[in-house]
Amino acid sequence: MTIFLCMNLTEVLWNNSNLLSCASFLAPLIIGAIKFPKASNNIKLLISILTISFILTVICYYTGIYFINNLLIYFAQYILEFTFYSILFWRLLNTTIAKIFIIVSAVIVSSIALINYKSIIHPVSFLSDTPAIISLALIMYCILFFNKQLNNPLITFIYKTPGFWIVTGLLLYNAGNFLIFLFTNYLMHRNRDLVYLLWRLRDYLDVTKNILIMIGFFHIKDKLWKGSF
Amino acid sequence: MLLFAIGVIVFVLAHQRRVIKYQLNLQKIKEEQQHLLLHATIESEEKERQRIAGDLHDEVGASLSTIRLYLLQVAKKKTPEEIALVTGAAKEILDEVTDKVRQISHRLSPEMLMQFGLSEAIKNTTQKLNNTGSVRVTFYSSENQPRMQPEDELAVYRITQEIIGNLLKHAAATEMRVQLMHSGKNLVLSIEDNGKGFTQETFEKLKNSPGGLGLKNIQSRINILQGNISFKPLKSGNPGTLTTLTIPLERKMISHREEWDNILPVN
Repeated sequence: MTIFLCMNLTEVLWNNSNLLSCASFLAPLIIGAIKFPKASNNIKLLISILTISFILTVICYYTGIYFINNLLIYFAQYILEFTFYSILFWRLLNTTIAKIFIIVSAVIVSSIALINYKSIIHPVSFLSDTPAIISLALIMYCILFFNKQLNNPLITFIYKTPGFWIVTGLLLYNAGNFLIFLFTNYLMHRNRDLVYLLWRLRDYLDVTKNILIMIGFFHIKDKLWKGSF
Repeated sequence: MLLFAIGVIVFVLAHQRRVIKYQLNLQKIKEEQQHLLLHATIESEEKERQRIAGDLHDEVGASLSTIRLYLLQVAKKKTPEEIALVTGAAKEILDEVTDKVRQISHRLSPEMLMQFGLSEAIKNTTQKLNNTGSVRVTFYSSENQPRMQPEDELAVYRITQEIIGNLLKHAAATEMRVQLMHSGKNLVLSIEDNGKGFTQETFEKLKNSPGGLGLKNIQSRINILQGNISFKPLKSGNPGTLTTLTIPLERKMISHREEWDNILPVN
């Protein structure tokens, strides 16, 4: 009976991954709202990013239900998220190299996004290049953040800081999504079932990211140092 | 890509764990050293107290008992001549006691140091050593040296005494060249000797060992003065050591909180 229930639940979760992904945004948003008075400006900025992402994900979910082409909304979401995350990491990473990297990334992403957008030839084309390059840039931001953490060793364990969980979530999400984004457009015209499967995985990566960000929010303390989350 | 990301996270955690372990070890070593220094300071103070107690008991106490006996005799004497004889003897002993008390007081806080400063006090010490005839000490110092805080001068003076004492006792030095100079914002005391030789490694080893009370006292005083000490072989290649003590004249106050702030990260 238990096994049957578990299997049933797994099937429900698997079939409704999109809804689960939308709902998962509520977890960090609720904890973020509770901890908001104690939160630093960087956390507040992250809460803003999550709110925008949540709204756009909900829009994508409902447009998906009614079979409305929402690929451009996804495109807009990635561009917006990248812009806000770049601002966030600009504030967090105070080395010259990191700042140069963020500027260069912004220029590259903007150029690719512009070229990508202008080259739409099919109404159901997913603009793979832009989200893929955004994921790559965000992976690099996360690595730069960890590099900074390693050079400024904490006296407390790293997993007691909100920054570790938030950046871990972002790193896993973007690392998992990079190849999915890169091959979505290619596969869309060849093997659509595989695309749906991969996007379900993307949804679960989204859930994982949101859970990790929520754990990060749990670690918000009154005392925060400059340049921290 | 996902595996790479997991690898990065695992590496960060492992590295962090190693760094924390290292920091905890470092903190433990520091605490142990602080404990040893504290122990040395307490032991040193206790020895000093015992020495003073011994001096007072053996020299002052005995003399005062003799004076008491003389004063008791006064009541038994009948003629003024006899009384004058007894009181005269008591006065002589009282003068001796006064001298002894002055000597004890001088050892506790050298008068020369208080009145004329560090340079004169060290010069006076070297002259006394020369007067013994068994050691030849030359002293040089820059002119018009500014006075330091009394407790700092006393600390430098005690360090100098300890170093010279060690050179005579352990290194069997027969010649010393003491220099007290101002270099920039530092006070530099250097002592060259022709003894058996002493290295920085030996100093570090001895000051962190359970023994070596004198060296611990030196280190403790240097810590308070926020200075440093080095032991190097002579450049000439002759046997002996060049001991250099450097004390910053303008010291900043370092609080325990600031020390932690240096360790604590900007997350």
